[in-house]
Amino acid sequence: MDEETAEKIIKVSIWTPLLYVGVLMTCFIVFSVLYRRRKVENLSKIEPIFPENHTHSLYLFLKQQYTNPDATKESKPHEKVMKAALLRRGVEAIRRSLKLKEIEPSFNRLYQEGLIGDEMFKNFQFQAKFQEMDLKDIVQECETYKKGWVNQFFPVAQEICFNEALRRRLASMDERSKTFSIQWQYFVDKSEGAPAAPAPVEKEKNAIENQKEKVEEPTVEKTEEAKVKA
Amino acid sequence: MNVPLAYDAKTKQLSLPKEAERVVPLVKLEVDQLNTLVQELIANGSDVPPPPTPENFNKDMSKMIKKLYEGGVQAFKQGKYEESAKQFNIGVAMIARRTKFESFQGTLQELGLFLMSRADAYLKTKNYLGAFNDADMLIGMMMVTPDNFLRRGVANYLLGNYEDARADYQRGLSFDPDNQRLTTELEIVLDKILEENGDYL
Repeated sequence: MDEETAEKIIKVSIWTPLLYVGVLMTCFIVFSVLYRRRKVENLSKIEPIFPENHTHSLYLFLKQQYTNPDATKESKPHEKVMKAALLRRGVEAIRRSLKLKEIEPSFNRLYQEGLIGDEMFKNFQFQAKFQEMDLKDIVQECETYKKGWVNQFFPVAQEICFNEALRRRLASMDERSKTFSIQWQYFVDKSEGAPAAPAPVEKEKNAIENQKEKVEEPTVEKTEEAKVKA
Repeated sequence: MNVPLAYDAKTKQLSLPKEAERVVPLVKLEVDQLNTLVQELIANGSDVPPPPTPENFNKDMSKMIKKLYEGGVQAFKQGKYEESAKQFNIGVAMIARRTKFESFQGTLQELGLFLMSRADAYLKTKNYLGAFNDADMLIGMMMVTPDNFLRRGVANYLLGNYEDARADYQRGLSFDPDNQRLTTELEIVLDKILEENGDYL
């Protein structure tokens, strides 16, 4: 019986397991490469929620010149220029993060109710992840200019973000006036100062004038008083 | 971003070629904003911008702005409404020239006062669109007071937007139901709406 089993043993070459492992590894590597390539292709197809980040591009352009060892004194940006560019980049990152936080509940709700597809929801998640990475990158960059600046960096960037938004709103006032005058067909300047709004009947007109007298003057005084108190 | 950018070490400013400015206005805007921030940082002197605390609020500028405000109020009281609106205008422009890294809260408070007063001056000078814009901005800045709704309501009424005026007065009244001025204005605008609809008896 022992002799029979001994005869049945097949001699296996030392190369067989190695070949087996090799084939397995090759298959795995090919699969991994293809999978990753496909994933990158899919990611590159994602349509970003936000338009191109110019502040990021500007910072990279300046950084390239700043770190270039062959750069002359004339072409190398000043350190404050770099800090300002990084602050602008931080401002845009904060603005985008705030926008994402603002729209997050709507996206979640719409996705839960099946009103938006997987693709759009993944786009949103990808954008949120990307924004997180951008913020981390900014923190690292920040530390290269001054140790510990990062604690002050984001509060300052936030103030800049809000102040710029306020200035944008102020700057758009004239344009808004033009749009409203077209929308409401109110062309006072073109009609030699005559009010385009239908003139109130005499009784009402007087009432309004009286009211305005009462309303406006004390309001200015009140605000003045408020300021004095402040 | 394939735009040829140039850096001037002397002025420490970035610039775009003239042709590119027209093609990519958004990049031009970013470059301008960056240049402004660089100038402000250099003018500030410190190596990094100071934290946005009330102590770091530019006091000299505050004094100048306060003077302009007082001048505007004085002119308003004397009945010089054009002059008053002009003073408030300069004040608003000055507030917008504060450095970007100063406290937003402080800027907002200053701007609120100017916009309130400028809206009143604009109503007096019959610049109703300007008054509407100012009052609308005040409400947009979350300064939701009955007075601001009254301002926007009056501007809307005089612009012929009676339904909007009614909504403004009613919203104002929701904050202060006993406000006599708002109540009277609401009655007037309701009469006007009836008249416009041909239902006035």
